[in-house]
Amino acid sequence: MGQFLSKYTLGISAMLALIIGGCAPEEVCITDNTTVIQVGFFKEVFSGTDSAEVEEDTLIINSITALGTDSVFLSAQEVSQLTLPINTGSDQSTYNLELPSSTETLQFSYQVFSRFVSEDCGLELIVDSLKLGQTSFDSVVITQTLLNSNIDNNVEVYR
Amino acid sequence: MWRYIVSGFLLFSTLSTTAQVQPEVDTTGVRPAKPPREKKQAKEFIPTGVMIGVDIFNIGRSIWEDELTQQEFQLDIDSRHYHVTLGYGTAETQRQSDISSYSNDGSYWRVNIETNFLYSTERKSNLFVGLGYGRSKFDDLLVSETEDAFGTTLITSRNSGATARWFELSTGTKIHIWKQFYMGYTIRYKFLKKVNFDQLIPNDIPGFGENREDDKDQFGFNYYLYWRIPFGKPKPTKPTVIDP
Repeated sequence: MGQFLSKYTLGISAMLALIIGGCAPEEVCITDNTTVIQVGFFKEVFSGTDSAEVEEDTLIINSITALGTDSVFLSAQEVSQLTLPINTGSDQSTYNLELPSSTETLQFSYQVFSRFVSEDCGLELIVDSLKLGQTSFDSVVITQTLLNSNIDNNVEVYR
Repeated sequence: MWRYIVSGFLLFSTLSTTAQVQPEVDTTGVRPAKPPREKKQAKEFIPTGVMIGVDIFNIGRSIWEDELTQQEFQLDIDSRHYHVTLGYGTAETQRQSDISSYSNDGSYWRVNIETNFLYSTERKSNLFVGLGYGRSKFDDLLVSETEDAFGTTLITSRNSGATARWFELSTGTKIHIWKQFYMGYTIRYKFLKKVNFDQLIPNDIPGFGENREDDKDQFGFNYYLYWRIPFGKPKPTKPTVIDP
């Protein structure tokens, strides 16, 4: 009897330990990954000497539209920062910014990775490798290639 | 790297077989010399048998969990102190949410080197700790609908021939039950995972478990039924001496 118990005690205790300790943690469907590009506008201010400081710039935008949709993302606002949703069904998005005196273009390409989080949370999209395509602005810099809610700007536009 | 260690171990154990030297009959009363230390150490690595096992824990999971179908077989080559175990398995996963479905299908293998702490028992029961390496190859597919400012998009994303590798620490038992039949469990801690994929981040890795971003390591549990095939003839039992 003792031999029988010793043979199975280790196995039963191990299974119990795994059942008790192996419960999966409750799924939290919150992610820092986003599908929007944060664009900040800046200008160089010369203070009289040879050095220049960079300050936030404010643009008056009549409207913002994008290729592939009739949606108007923004209308008649004064902004120093924009949030542009990307087209997740494509690897490229092109935006037209209607300013009072001109129409400017911003085009971006990116890689969209998909992940099945869980049965409760469903799908998550991770957008990375953001690159600048065509633009009519003087100077555009990609500062963060991953679209994430924890960063200030992915793109900085200088006029 | 583990393939070379295992190959070297098997090669060494094969080459280290030596013929038995009959001790001389001593008529002078002087105690015969002890066998050389090298021969005693060589016996440690000579395989004494092989155990063929099937994992019934994952077969049970496949029955009570709709999402998973998995089976694993194991080959255990044992010597006195050390075992080399080779495992091979297949796994298929189906996961569904309201608007997304994910499927994964692949195979895996692992090799472990284990130290047996119960080597002195005649019945060849095991209590072991081990270090191992595993590899997996699989295909997976994600189909989902998303809605954004550009409308409703059907996303179809797949990996074909994605691979993964990991290392593992293991511990467990293999207990003799009856004749050549054994049962035992193995608990594994899997770490240092590396996954190669295309644009779909895999949710499951066959042989490893879930590919979670917030929990890169995984625990695993197997419960095996084994049949042992010993090498060579069993040792003769001592005759019973009956007092006249």
